[in-house]
Formats: sequence, structure tokens, C-alpha cells
Amino acid sequence: MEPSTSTHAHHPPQSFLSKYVFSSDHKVVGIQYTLTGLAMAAVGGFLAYVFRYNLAYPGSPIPLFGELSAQQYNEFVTCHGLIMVLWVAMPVIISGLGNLLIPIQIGTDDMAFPTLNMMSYWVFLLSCIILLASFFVPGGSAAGGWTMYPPLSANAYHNTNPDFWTALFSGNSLVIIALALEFVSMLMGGINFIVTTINKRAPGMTPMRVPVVVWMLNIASVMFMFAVGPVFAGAVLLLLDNVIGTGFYDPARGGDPILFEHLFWFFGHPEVYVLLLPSLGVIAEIISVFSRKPIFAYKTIIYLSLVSAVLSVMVWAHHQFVSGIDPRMATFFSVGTIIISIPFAGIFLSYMATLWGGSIRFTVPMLWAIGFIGVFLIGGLTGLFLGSNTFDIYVHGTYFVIAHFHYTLFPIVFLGFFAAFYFWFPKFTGKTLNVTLGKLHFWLTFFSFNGTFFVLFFNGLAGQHRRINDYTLFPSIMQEPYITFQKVATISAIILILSQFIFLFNFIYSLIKGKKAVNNPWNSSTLEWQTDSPPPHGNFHTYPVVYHGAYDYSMPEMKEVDFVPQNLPLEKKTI
Amino acid sequence: MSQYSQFIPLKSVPQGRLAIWLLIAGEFVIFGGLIICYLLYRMRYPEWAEQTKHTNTFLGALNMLVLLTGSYTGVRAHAAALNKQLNKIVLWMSISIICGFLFLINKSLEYAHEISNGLTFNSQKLQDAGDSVGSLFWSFYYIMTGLHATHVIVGIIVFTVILNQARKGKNLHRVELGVMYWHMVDIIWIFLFPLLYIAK
Amino acid sequence: MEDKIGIEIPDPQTDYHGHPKYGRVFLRLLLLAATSIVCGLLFPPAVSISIIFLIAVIQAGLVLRNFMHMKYEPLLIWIISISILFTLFMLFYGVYTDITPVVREIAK
Repeated sequence: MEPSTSTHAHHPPQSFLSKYVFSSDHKVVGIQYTLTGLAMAAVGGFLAYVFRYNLAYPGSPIPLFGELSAQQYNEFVTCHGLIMVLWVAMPVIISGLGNLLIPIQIGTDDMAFPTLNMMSYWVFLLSCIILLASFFVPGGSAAGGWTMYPPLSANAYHNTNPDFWTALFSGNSLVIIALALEFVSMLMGGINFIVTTINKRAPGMTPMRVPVVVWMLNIASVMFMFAVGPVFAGAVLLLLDNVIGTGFYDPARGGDPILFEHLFWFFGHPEVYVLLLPSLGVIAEIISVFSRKPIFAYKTIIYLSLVSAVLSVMVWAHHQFVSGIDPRMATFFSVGTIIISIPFAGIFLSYMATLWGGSIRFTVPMLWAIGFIGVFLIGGLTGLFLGSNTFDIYVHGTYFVIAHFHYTLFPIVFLGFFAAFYFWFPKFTGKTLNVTLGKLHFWLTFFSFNGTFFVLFFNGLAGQHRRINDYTLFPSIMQEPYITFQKVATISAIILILSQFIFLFNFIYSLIKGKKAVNNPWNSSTLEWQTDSPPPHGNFHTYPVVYHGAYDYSMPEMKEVDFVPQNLPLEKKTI
Repeated sequence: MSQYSQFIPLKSVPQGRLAIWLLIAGEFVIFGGLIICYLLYRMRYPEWAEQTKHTNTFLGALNMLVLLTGSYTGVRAHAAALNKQLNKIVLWMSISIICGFLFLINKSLEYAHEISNGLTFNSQKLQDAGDSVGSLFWSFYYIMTGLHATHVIVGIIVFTVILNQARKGKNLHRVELGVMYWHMVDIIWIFLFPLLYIAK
Repeated sequence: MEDKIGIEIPDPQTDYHGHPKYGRVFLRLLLLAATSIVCGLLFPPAVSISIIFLIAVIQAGLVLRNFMHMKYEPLLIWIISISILFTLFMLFYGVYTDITPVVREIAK
């Protein structure tokens, strides 16, 4: 069989609207997801700035905002968590990366269902709008914590019989509706990813030649699909409790709020791995390219992530050790949590082994990737502490937990994303980013992030609880050095947010004035680098046929070059 | 073709069918979550046996019959689509759609009967009788059957769209996809029926 | 399509090895439904519930295998189904002890 030479089954869209707005091209959809996610990150970041400032200087008016009331504090921490996990991490890490990378890395023209892909983005945008609208309804947005535990999230229990429309347009209900729409959108995207990867791979692209990031995105999609069902049902039940006054989580009518906690974390914990795996995939790509070495133990990485996917549905209740769950099950989940660190430790070891003896190039993406490894290691290790139920009881709900999950989620979402951004920007825009600004951005982000959250470990161990907006009322807990630590955290957080403007400037400046990028600036062997920058509609001028693995760098038998493109039809000995 | 087949460890299926299988998997997890919640509460409250007596086994069984018939005519339509017999597709799919409407009529009769007896998700009648957990059963009853009935409505719409295309001989492979969705709705009812109507 | 992608994907119109005897499966499903109703009437709840759920599982299996042609599907689809069962089992197992045996004080 000869691969056909013409890729343009249908003509590329011409008008502005059909080309950039209502486009079903996977690259445009991916960019739309990424930009929307970053816009939501700006909202989430601003919320973080406001309540972070309030924590260090309680009572004083906040620049650019004003006074923050206690109710607003609750609202802001709730929405910061929800936005960052579900409206930033999910679109940027799963949908954005998946849409941009999957079709082009497996060597095909587009997703299996381009229209479904476009629809998934528009459903997602609708959910963003509903979420943002929830700030402006009477009573404000959801304020019961990002985990939305009833009864705090169910206004029906403490308001006396709100009528249907008031209840439907309350902050709590709108957030749940937005959440449900977001799940629908991600399910549509996930089905698309899995079908595309299974059915549309280029000839010769065997499963074990697929780049790690595509594997990871698919495993993450499968995990998401299986984990999201119960919480989808749980969210519908919570919505009905809110709106029409059923009693699924109301103890007075036989319900049980702990059921929601279980349903939420049954999704919420796998969700962390859903985000972690694609990020790890990105890091694998970058480390391999810039160490000029094949990724160490490629197959083992894949198998380990499959193992972690299976284990991920057996650990969720470690978030509920203080909720009054059965102690026997607490031990089960504690052991499960400690076991699930094994596959990730294995994956990390293979990244270390890839770096070992490589000829490392400290380009900007590589800096972010190595930063990811360092920062995530701290997050992962403190996760082991929290997985042990005896320790968790002491620090549950304190800043220790805050510091821990920011040390896991920040590298996953932002360090991983920026690594991917600096790595693939030349490919998808055709422009080169400024290296100096990129390095400045990295170092500022890296240090200010550590400045923000490292001190919070100590505040947490000292017993400071995260849901208290004004610690001057508790002078016995709020002593030196913890007052200073709060201020250090706030100032670092402000630097962290400000340093993102470097990124923004670099992004816009390089789009307009950047040098034109070459097709393969990093000498990478995967398929996306073997086509134009930016790729044409349909991605490839001739459909690629794959002859090599994704990470054939510096093989001993190679003679003249240190990498071999996946679609080069030659034996390694001859090049 | 043959030179690449050695690379394939897992045989795949056509992409439409794969997507429908994944959709079905997602739906099963959603309904599975609901059914598990119901089962846990059902085992917690033996007094719900009082409430289950009020569900109408006859109408439930009739709905089972209607849905299974719809499934059966659906597979006949699929067989006809493989042989490109357009008339038969129209015949069998129309019967399926009628079955869907019959199901909805039955369901609304049931709902009307129960609501008129004061058995709602927030039943004042049960509260007055001192049964504080009874209305939770009806909450589950309405959410599970209601969500299922929503899927039947979606199934009817999907069938109508597909029928309209298949009538002109277009997109015959979609008949199978629509029918698979219908079977999923059917299987969910196969589990809801004993849970809500038989286990008294 | 095969030309373009080069992996083995069967044509949706022709890839069945055959058709199960749909009529016979349909009759079996109806018989099983009738049996489960009769069981619900005849036996005490403890006995009937296990029979009824066994019948429901058999019915679902019949629909999946014959009507949805799962018996002709490749390993991939079976892996998906087993994952669903595993996920739901884990959910049940993890939540059971916190809901069912706990009888909290209900406000009257």
C-alpha cells in the first residue's frame, strides 16, 4: 500500500470566522483551549492575589481591589481552587495539549471527529461564562470551599425554602451547572483523543513508537472518563438538593453528606493523576530531546502509568481521614496512597536515568522541565506524609496541605505547561521566542513560587488553618516567625504573578516581531517537527510513514547525525 | 495493508463504533454511580420496603417489554442496513421510535399516579406519617427513572435523525450506532427495573 | 480511508462474522423478565433478590453479547468493559462502610 500523496481531502477554510473562530481544525481548537485556560488563569491568579494579600495584611485595603469581607474571602478561595483545577488545568494540560499534539504526533491530519472537537470547545466556553457569571448573582459565587461539600454548598438547607429560580441562579447552583458542562466538554474531548489515537495512527506508528506524551494523554482521558461518572451523578444530586429541595445529602431526611465527599474525591483524586500524566509526558519529550538520549525505559514508563491509572481509583478517601470514615477503610486507603507513589517514583527514576550521562542542553524548555522534577519531588514526598492517616489527622486543612498540593499542582499545571509552551511555540506559531526573557521568566517564577509555598509548610505545622481569613483574632497561633512567613508568602506570590507579565510580553512580542522559526529547531525526531512551522491545514504535505521509534537520539550505530526523524525510511546504520 | 498488520497488537473497530462504545462506558459509570448510591441507602434503610410497594410492577414490566421490543426491532433495522434494504430500515426503526413513545407515555402515567398519591421527592404526606426517610426513596426513584427517561427522549431524537438520513440511503452505518445507544438505555432499564419494581 | 491511515480498521458495513439469531435472543430476554417478576412474587425477599439480580446480569449479558455484537468485538472492547466493572466495584467497596452500616440520628 502506498500512502496517498494528497492530504487536502477538504479545502482549508477561508474566511476569518471559519478559520480562527468556528474552526474544527485541531490546532485552532487546541490554541483556543489554551488561550481560554490562560485567561481563566488570570482570573484565578487575581483571586489568589487578593486573598493572599488579605492574609498577610488583614484588615488593610488591598491595592486594585479594596476591602475583602469574610464572605468574599470564602468565595475567592473557593473559586480560586475551582478555576485553577477545572478551568485552567483541564483545558490547558488535557484539552490544549491533547488537541495540539495528538493528531500531529501520530501523523494524521486531524481528530477523528473534528466537529465534536469544536463542539467540546464551545461547551467549555459556555461553562467558563456560567462560572464567571456566578460572581455577579445576588449572594455571590459558591463559598463552601472548592470541594463543594454539602451542607455548605447546598443553600437549600440553611435558607428557608428559596423559590426555584432564586435557587437555580444562586452561586452554588451556577457553579455546579458550569462544572457539569465542563465535564461534558472534557468527555467529548476525551472520547475524541482515544478514538484518534487508536484508529488514526500513521502507518508504522506502532503503540510502542508513539511518543510518551500521547500515551499519557490517552491514559489520562481514560482515567477521567471512568472517574467522572460518579461525581457527575453526585453533582446532579447536589444540584437537585439545591434547586428543588430533595434530601440526598441532608441528614434530616435520611441523606448523608459523606456520600458527596466520597463521590467528589472518587473523581477528585484520579483528577490529580489525570493532570499529572500529560505533564510527565511533556517532561519526557523535553528531557529526551535536550539530553540527546533515548528516554530511559520507555516501555516501563508506559506500564507504570497504566499501573498508576488502575491504582488511582483505590486511594481517594485519603482526603477524608478526618471526615469520620471507617478506620479500617482509612488504613486501606492509606496503604493504597503509599503504594501509588511507587509507579511515579519509577517514572521519575527513568527521567533521572535519561539525564544521566546525556549531553544536556540548558535551553528554556529544559530549564522548566528540570524545575518541574525538582519542585514536584517536594510535592510528591510531602504527599507521602499526608497519605499516612496518623499524620494527616494533625495537619488536615492546614497550610501544610495547601503547600503540599501547590507543590504538586503548580509544577503540573504551570511548570509543565510552560515547558510545553517554550518547546512547541516555534512549531505552532512559526515564530521564535526570546531566550533571555524566557530564562528570566523561569528563574523569577521558580524562586518566587518556592518563596510562596515553602514557608507555608511551617505555618501549617504550627497549626494555621486555611479557611480563616484573619489570624489577628488568634494571637496564640499567629506569632513570629509565622507573621513574617505569611508576609514572605504574599510578597513572593505578588512577584510570581508579576513575573507572568514577562511571559505575556514575550508571547505577544514574539508573535509580532519574533524571528521566523525553522522547521526543527531542537533537532527532535518526533513527527510534528518534520513538517512546516506552523503546520499547514492537514498537518503534512505527504502523509508520513513511520520507520523508527520516537526517541532515537545518539544511537551508537548512527554515523553522521545524532537523531533520526521517525519518518526517515533509512536504516540507522546508514545515517 | 499486510506490511503493517504485524504492528497491530490490538485489532481496532471502526471509529464511530469505538466512540459509541466509549460513550456507553461513560454512561454506564454515571448510572453505575447512581445505582450504587441507591443500593447503599437501600441497604441502610430496610423501611424503604414500605415505599417500594407503591411502585407499579405491571407498568414497569410493560416498559421492560416495550424497551426490549424497541431493541429487537433496532437490531433488525441494523441487519437491514447491512443489506441496504431501505424499506425495512424505515419499518423497523419506526417501530423502535413508537416503542420509545409508548415508554414515555407509560412513564408519565406512572409519575401522574404516584404524584397524585402524594409520593414526591419532598413528600408532606410521608413526613406527616412520621416517615422521615421515605421521601429519599422517591427522590432516588425520580432521579434514576427521570435520567433514564431523558435518555429515551435522546434515543428517540437520535433515531429520528438517523431514520431521516437512512431513508435516503445516506449514512447507513449510523443505524448501528443509534441502535447501540438504544441498547445501552435498555440495559440500564434492565437494572433499574428489579431495583425499583421487583425487589420489594 | 484505509489508504490514508494504514492500520487495520474493518469496514463498518462488512466486518461481522454473522448475525446471532435475534428472535431467539429476544424471546429469551422476555422469558427471563417474566421469570424475575414471578420470582419476586413467589420467594421471600432475601432469596428473590439474589435470583433477580442474577437474572438482570444474564439479561444485560445477552443484550451486550448479541444485540450489541460484543461477542464479535476485539479485546479492546472487553478491556473497556472490565475497567468499568472494576471502577464501580472499587466505588462500592470504598463507600459501603461509610453509608450502609451507619445509622445516624435522624432529626424528627
